[in-house]
Amino acid sequence: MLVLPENQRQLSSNKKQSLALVQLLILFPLMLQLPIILTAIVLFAPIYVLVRGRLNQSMAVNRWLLLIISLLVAIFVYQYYGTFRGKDAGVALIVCMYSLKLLESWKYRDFNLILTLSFFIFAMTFLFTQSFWVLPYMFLAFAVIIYVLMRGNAYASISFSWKPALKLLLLSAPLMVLLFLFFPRLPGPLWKMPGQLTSGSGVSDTMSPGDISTLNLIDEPAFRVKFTTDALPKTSDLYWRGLVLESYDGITWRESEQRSDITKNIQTQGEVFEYFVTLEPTRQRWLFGLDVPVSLRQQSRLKSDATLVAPYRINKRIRYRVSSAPEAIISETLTPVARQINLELPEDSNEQSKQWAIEKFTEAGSAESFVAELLQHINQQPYFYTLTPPIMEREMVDDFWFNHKSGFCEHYASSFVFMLRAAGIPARVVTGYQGGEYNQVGGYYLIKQKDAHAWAEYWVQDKGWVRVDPTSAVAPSRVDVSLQAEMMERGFLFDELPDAELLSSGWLDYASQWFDNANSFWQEWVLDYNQDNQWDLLKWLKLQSLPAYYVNGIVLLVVFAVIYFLWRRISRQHTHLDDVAKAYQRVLKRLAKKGVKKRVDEGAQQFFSRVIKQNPQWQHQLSPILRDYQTLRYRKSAFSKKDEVFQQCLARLKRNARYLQL
Amino acid sequence: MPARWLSSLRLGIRAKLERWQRSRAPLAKSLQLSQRNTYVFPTRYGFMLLLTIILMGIGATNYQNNLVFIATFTVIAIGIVAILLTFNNLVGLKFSVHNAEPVFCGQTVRVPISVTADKEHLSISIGAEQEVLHTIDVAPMAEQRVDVVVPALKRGVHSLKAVRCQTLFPLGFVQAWSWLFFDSQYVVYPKPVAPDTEWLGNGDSNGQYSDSFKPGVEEFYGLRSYKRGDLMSRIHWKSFAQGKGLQTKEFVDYLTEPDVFDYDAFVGIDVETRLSQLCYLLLNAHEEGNAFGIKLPNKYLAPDKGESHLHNCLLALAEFEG
Repeated sequence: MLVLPENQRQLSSNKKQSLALVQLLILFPLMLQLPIILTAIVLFAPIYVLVRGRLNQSMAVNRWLLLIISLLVAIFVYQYYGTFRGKDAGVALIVCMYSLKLLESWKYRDFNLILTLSFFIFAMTFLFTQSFWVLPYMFLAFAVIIYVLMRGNAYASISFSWKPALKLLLLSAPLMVLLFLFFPRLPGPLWKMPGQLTSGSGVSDTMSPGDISTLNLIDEPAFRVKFTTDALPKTSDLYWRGLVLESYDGITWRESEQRSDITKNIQTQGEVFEYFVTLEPTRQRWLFGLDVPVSLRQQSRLKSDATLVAPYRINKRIRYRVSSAPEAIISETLTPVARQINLELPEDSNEQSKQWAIEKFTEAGSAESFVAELLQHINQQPYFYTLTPPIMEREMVDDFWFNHKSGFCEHYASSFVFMLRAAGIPARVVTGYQGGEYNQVGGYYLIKQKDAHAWAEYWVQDKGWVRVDPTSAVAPSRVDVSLQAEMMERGFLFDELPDAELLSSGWLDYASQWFDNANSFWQEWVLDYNQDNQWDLLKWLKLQSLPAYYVNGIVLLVVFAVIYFLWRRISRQHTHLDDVAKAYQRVLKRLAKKGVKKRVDEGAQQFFSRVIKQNPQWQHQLSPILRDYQTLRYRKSAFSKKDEVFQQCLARLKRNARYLQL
Repeated sequence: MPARWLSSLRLGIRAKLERWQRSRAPLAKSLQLSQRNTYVFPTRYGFMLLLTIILMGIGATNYQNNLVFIATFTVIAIGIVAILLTFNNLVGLKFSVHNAEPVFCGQTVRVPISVTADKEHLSISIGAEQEVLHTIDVAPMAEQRVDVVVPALKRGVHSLKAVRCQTLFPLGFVQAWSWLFFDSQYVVYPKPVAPDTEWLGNGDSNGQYSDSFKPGVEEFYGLRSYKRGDLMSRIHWKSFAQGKGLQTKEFVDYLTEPDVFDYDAFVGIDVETRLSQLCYLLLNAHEEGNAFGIKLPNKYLAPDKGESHLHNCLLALAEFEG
């Protein structure tokens, strides 16, 4: 077949339609992200081509008209976004131009251009969505691009299967993984893009329970914890410490600005648990750890109030390693400054509560029995747990403790600490998360935003800061009905609840655990893989002590080795030969070894008679082979493969070929 | 501009490579492409892909987006595998050259080449360097024939120049190519041109051929005494009856005087035209079924008939150096 030089080749209507289909496939996930009107614009060109092609009409569009359309679209995009800069406007413009390009594609050149650009266009999808499904979709789309490219480059009209395209993609997979793991990367961003998102999260740096009338439980993951030690902490110890709030102005609890005790004053004792925390972005600096964290890797800091602080705001998902000892003692001795901070109460407010606390304390006699008394009080008196408490703006503690008697953890923690301070016991509020769902598939705890919690700590000589959770004292019967299910998940919190254990893993639970496991793997190893992980991997491979250029050299070597093995695989893949051909080839090889080679222009008959003429002693070995070969090859139609004669003949040929003695 | 610069660079490299390969390639009737004599270079689409990859890499780095990184690395891997596949699409092909039919100057020579392979090779283009390429698909264990087309611009016996063999398959991002140097010659006869004046025979015949005849069946020639084995039908019974013994009738075929075309008979005409006119006369004589010969300053071919004689005469013209 004579083929024109590629710059003269025209695109056939069929090829153009296949381009339109590729465009639709590539643009589909992006269209879900674009405003609807832009989606319509983007859809126009491929659909126009497909419809005209179906009707066998010309797809030609006037060049000037096309230019005008392009300009109008560009103006529209500018109007819509007010700029061409930035991710959204840029992507919108590129996508529109990409789809309009189809209308002026006439030549083989345009065919290749559009397909090559398709790779780029698809990659832009990931700027908008990072869902799990997009990646398999990408491989599908790339397979289609490769398939269409292959068809475009196969000049002769052959029936073309999907297999080569899929094979090409499969062959490139190991290289891709290797490049992903080892290819050196620059730290980004190279330039700042406008319009990055910021949003809050489950725990904030202040707490003003009186202001809140509705607390929304957010069913999103806050962080995941994977223990490296075999033993897991007791369920009742699952308090994830976040912030310590020491300063109270009557409405809001805040972190104290006075840094009272800076020296390291945490005494590790009892069992120590080591674990990794994978924290979702919080846009804040604090980190969470199991109460009480005792040591921390990485650059982050363990503060004297046993909270963790990162050196920068957590704007993307991070992973860090902590050790905790639930029985550790914080601040065996208290500095006078710290004592003062933790006793401070605003004057002239909540007088009733203050009075009440002092009375009760003198009755109780010691800090511990006073705490027990308070918990008893919450449990016995009609205190309710609800997420829709009334607003208590002034005299919040009085209002809560004596009037409304309903609220959620913040109300309880806040009032509890108030009472202790009023009685002269140093106390403070701790916020963080409580509980967590153990994922049996992945072997980790998933802590969600809705697990956010606040509790209290009071100081006792020799025992340091002791955790007490007043919310847990609320009688289970007085927990808001709408929270029953929620409560069950929290398990022990209201631990008289009978059904808590019955609700264990059904298959749906298991499925959701599996999904979260896959998701966390996805996030940890795909979305969050970065320079640090790369470095960890090198460390794990014991390559970290080598100079960088050695490492690069080794990586390059591995890459080339993989390429070499791919090459070997590719070049060895002979097309499948049937049994007859295999036996025949075996004979030819044997003869070639003896110095008799079949010439290209010779048929089997010719070749064998030549060989026999030259080497008559081989006649009785070779002639049965030739006879069988010819029978099987040229009289195949005479009998089917299942036929006994055929089988005998084939078996004889194979045997003769295998045991040929020359 | 960069495109032009790039293509001139590419042409330069190619010319160098061709010379290099020619210098170390053994001339043969059949040859096989191996890793050592096959080359790859990106096409302009390959460079475009590279540009795309760079853009994707910048995007991925800027947004620190691992999925974009995955997309980028996938495209890089596809590119690398495409290089290997394209290269492999050429390596392993076996070629053997066959003799080309002689042609007249101004026609095109078709040198048949058979292509075989152990596995499937798709979209293989073959052709003389700087000529039209033919594209074929090669199936495993089957022979494919393709004609290398060369314009016959000058008479003579020519060696086949470099034959180019290339492929863009599967993705068109890289081109793999090689040159095949065959040990093959083809003959270009002079272009036949009718002489202005009619050829009137050999003019002053040297008498060698006047009254020439050979034993035949056409005309009675005479009698001779019978020899054993003579046909009964040929016996001249009349003279036997006259008692002259057994006589056999002899027949001969008279030959029309064969033309011997003489190079020197064309006075005042340049060499090429002379040869062209001689060529025309030879063809004419052959067509009419006459015997003919040719006389060149350095060569004489005795009159004869038949295709191979014609070929020899025309070959003499083609090879003539005057």
